[in-house]
Formats: sequence, C-alpha cells, structure tokens
Amino acid sequence: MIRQDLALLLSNALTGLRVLLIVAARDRNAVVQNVIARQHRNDSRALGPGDPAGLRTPVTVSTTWLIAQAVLGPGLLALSLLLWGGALGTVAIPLWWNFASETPLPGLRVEVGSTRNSFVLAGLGLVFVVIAAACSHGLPRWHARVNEMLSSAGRSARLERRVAALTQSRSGALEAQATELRRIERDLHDGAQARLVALTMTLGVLDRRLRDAPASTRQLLGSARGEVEEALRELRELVRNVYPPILADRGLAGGLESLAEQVTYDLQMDVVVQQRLPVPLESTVYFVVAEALTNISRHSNAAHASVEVRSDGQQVTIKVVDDGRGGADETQGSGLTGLRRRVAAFDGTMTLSSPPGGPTHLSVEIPCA
Amino acid sequence: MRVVIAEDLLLLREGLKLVLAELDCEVTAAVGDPDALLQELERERPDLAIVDIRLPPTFRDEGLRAALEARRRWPGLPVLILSQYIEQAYVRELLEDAGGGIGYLLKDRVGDVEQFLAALRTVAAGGTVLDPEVMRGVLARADALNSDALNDLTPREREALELMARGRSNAAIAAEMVVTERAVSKYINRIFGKLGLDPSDDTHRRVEAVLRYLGSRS
Repeated sequence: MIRQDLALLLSNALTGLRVLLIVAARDRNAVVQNVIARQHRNDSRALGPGDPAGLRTPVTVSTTWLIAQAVLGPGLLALSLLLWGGALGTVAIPLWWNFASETPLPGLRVEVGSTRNSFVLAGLGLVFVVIAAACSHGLPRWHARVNEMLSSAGRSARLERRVAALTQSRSGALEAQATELRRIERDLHDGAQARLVALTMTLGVLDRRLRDAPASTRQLLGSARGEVEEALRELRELVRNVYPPILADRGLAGGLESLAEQVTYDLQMDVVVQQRLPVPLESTVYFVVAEALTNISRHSNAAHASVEVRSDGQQVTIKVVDDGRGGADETQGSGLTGLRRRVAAFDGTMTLSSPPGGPTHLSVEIPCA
Repeated sequence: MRVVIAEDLLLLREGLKLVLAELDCEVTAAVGDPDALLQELERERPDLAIVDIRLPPTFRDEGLRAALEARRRWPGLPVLILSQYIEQAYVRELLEDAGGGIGYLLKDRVGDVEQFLAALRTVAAGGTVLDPEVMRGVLARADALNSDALNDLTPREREALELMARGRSNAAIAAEMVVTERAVSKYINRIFGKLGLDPSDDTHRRVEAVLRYLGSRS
C-alpha cells in the first residue's frame, strides 16, 4: 500500500512538473490535455473505483487548476519524503549511536546520551513512520479532492452526489410519510374510532334502559348519541382523505375499483399492475385518479370517461380521458396543481390537454423506483 | 336468538355482548379470528353470525372472506357484517351470494339498539339489511346519472325505496313512515311499476332487484 501511495505521489509530482513544460511548449494545448489525462487517472486511482469523480475526465480546466498541479504535485511529494526521511532517520538512531556516534548527526538537536535513550527515540521514530504512512496515503486523496473542487467536472460530480443523496432522502421521507399515514389509519381504527363505537353501544343500551326517564333526560341522551355519531362520521371522512381503508384492505386495484363505483358518469376503468407498488406510490396513484375523477364530475360535465392505469415494473402510467367541456385550467385552482405536486414528488411528469369544448386528456407517468 | 361474534377488538367484543345481552340474544361464542369463527360456527350452528370485516392475521378483509367461506360451507347461514366504513365493492361481493340472510352495517348503527335488533331479526329470517350509507351512495350515483325513472318517484316513494333497499319489511317501512302497511304496499307496487321491476315480498330479492336496477344505470 505504501508503495502504491508513494508511486501516486511521484506520479502527481511528475505530472505537476509537466505543467512547467507549457512555458516552453509549442503545442500548449497538447501539454494541458496530457496533464489533465494523467492527473485525472491519478485522482481516479486515489479516490477509488466507486467514486463518481472517476466518471468523467474534465475537458477544460482553469489556470488555478494547472498552478495547483504544479505546486501540489511536487510539493506533496516533497512533504511526504521529508516525513518519511525524518521518521526513518529517527528509527535508525540506535544504529548511529552504536556505530557512528563520532560523526555529527544532521538536524539532531536532542542529546542522545545512552543506548537506552537511543532506543526510546527509535520507538518515537516508529510513531513518525505511522504518521508518514498515513500522510502519504491521505495526501494524494486530498489532492484529488482539491482537483475535484477546482474542476467543473468535479462540480458536477459533487452535484451528482448531492442529487443522489437528496433522491434517497426524499424517497425515504415519502416512505416514512406513507407508513406514518397507514399507522395513523390503523391507530384510529383500533383506538379512537373503536372507543367511540363502544361508547355508542353503551349509550344505546343506556337509552333502552332509560326508556321511561323524563323527556329532558332522554333528549340529553339523544344529543349525546348524535354527537358521538357525528364524531365517527367526521373521523371516517378524515381517514378516507388521508389513507383510504380500501387501499389498505385491497391494494391499488381494489382502491381504484372502489373509486370507479362512486362516480356518476359512465366510466371505463382498465387497471393492469404487475406487482404491488411501493406503498407511497400506490397511494399517490390512487389520489391522482381520485382527483381526476372528482374534477371530471365537478367541472367537465362529461357523460363518458376512461381511466387506464398500467405498470410494467419500471414506471406507472395513468391516462384519464373524458368527453366533457374541456378548458381545464391549472391556474384556476382545480386541484390540478396539487396533483402535479404529488406527481413531481416521485419525479413523475404530468401532461394535460384540455381545449375548450373538450375532450380532456390527462396523462401521468411516474417511475417506480 | 343464538349468536356467534367475530371481532378482534376486545372493547367492541364486550360492547356487542352488552348490547346483545340487553336484547336477550344468547352469545354462544365471541372470537377474534377467522379460523376460530369457522370452528365455532361448526360447533354451535348459531342463528346468526356477527362478523367484523377487519380480522387478523393481516387486518384487511379477512372477516369478509371468512363470512363468504362460512356461507359456502353452510348455505343460507345468516351473517351480519360490521365495519367502521362502507365499501360499495363489499356490498356487491356480499350480494353476489344470492342466498339471503345477509347484512352489512356500520358499527355505529349498533348504538341504535332497537334498529339493530330489527336488523338482526331481518337477517336471521333470511332478509337483507344494508347500511343507509350504501343506499345513499347508490342513490346519489343514480341521481347524477339522471335516471328518468327515479325522477318520476315522489319524495314519499323515494323514502319507501330507500327503506326497502335497506332490507326493511313492509311493516317496518310502515312504522318508519307513519303510514299503514296497505299504504306501503301501494307505494311499493307503484315504485316497482315505475322502475319496471317485478314486485316481491321477499326482502332479499327486493333489495337485490333495486340495487341491480340502480347499479345497472351506470
């Protein structure tokens, strides 16, 4: 490993020195390209195969980059050699003490004094060796990072890394959100909703047992039952808008089928989904279709509509067509903006064509992964 | 009336037992999962099974599946499905089994003890009981589809239609609408006449006919 590191440092230094050739060279561009290629090869080696910086060679570089090579290449090699020299020299102190103590030692300010001390210093030297090894390993990598920062390809590599990280964290967030909504649905079902249902049962029995109670008492009981029923109704509505139970029970196909049963126009629904989609995507597809169907009944006055949902494992495509009056306008707050936002969260695209007089075509494509 | 309950939530199992005891129904078994339900039905042969849609192991629609399975094993076994929400898809699946003795209610309805008792009796006697929500959904849809025949119905006839679709007997409809049973018969004949359906006194066939009629308007 140490040999590789030193080879890399040496290669960087030689490449750096090549920069100086520019001054004398006839074809400067060739020299620059040569330097770029060599340095890029070295940097890729330094950063390892998995690093996105190794993906592309920079085509153009700045003067700063060139100067950096001229300075850092030889400079870092010199620094490493100095460190190694010092370290190995310190390790060798016992040899000097025993065989050549009459010759004065260059650079040594410490009084050795005894054989024992010479070995203590040699021990210290071993620590220096480790430090030198670490530095000669780290310096070419640091050099490569600096180059990456200085070159435009490096910037895009950095952006790529950033995009990859953001994509991952976003899909994590979507996943977490979907799981959370599902948990809330289940918690409500087994918790608050169940308690309220139990309460209506108790109130019901109470109501029967108090058949002969005064009218005012019965009225109070009646209004209590009314309140509980209203609370249950509201909770049901809430759950339906957040995470429809049918989606949990029957998956996407069942959920879409249930949507189709609720519409008030002639609807042709065609769903071909190969395997179950990830939970967040499933509920997005559901809500996209739900919103589209609601829009049709609210705004388009259509007699016929068709929904087609397909997934080939790579991407989901949703096509909704209706024969209504058209003229759907995203800027008019018709829920289309929210729809687009939902789709965009999955890197999906949405296209809408709705000329006045119709027909309206809504098409959505969402990648599965 | 001997009843077997399948409900996984203890709180609601106890609540149902309380209500059923109040109504002098004998709860012969109260279980929490589909397998136990089928076992108890085999052993007890009750007059009625009350089944929650969401049961273990996955808490999806195991209860519904178990109920359909039970009906396959013991044709005509009266089953009342309870759920915290109404899905039209489940209504269809339940009604595909044409044997009668089927009910589908929101759990909220149990609180209306007298109505609940009436529903239990209807189902146990082979009738069909559907939650008002089912009818509301179906009618809203039929309305929006501009069903001419439906528009011809007077408000009173419509009221009778809704009650009929919920599985009420003529006597129950009469009580609810505060009219005589003879008046109800007249309403029903007129409704069926307007919709072009064969009048029937069998509530299950009646519900089916009405729902199929409304459903086919789509």
